[in-house]
Amino acid sequence: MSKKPGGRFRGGGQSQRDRWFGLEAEDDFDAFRRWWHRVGKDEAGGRDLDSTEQARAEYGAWVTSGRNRVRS
Amino acid sequence: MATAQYDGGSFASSDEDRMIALLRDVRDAAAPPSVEEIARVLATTLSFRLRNAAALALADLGGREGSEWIGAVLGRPDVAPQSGTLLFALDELGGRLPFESLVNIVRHGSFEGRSEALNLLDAGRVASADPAAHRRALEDLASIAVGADHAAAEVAREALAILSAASGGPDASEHRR
Repeated sequence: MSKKPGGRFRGGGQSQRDRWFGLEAEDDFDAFRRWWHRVGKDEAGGRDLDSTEQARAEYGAWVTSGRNRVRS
Repeated sequence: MATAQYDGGSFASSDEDRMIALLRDVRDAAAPPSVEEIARVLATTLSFRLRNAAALALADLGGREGSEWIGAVLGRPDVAPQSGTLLFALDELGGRLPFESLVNIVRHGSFEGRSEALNLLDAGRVASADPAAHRRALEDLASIAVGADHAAAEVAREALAILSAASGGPDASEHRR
């Protein structure tokens, strides 16, 4: 997997490949994305993610805190 | 501090946190606010936190009307910098992003918003109202692709590449009108 100049990653075979900061390769990406939009973002102030680094930090914090899930 | 007012007949408050809480629980409310009431909040608030909550509430309620409201709001330049959750809500609703709104997000959007918008484009979920609007949006996208904003230019080039691949060639002008 190679990093593109703009920060997204080139992978392959993913339904959402390289569109979400490279995190889409993680098995639990869909659960994290749902949690981020429905819980995490507002707790963080409500602003969009601005960088791969910020996205990875939020993902790491979510994993550390026990991968909280949001109902569908 | 003012309290939220929703008792089955009105939906207005100057307490942002209270309104967000009401919107978050819309699926469990005995008498939830209507789609029109939530859409009015979505379209008029200057708070991106409240706008996000309204979009998610529309996603929770489901229906085509909600996706049309969200798609229209995403065409505003002032909304684009905080558009990620609106695009997520649109995705959850199974809605389509107007091509003009995609261009707006490519031009003014955040890293997150641009990524969510490209996801919708890649999934064939971007559409134009008519051929003339489609041509204008394509021209705008091509202009951004060679513009001075390097981050926007890269996203515009990626969008054009997706459109080209979807149309089966280098000319994307026939894509999904």
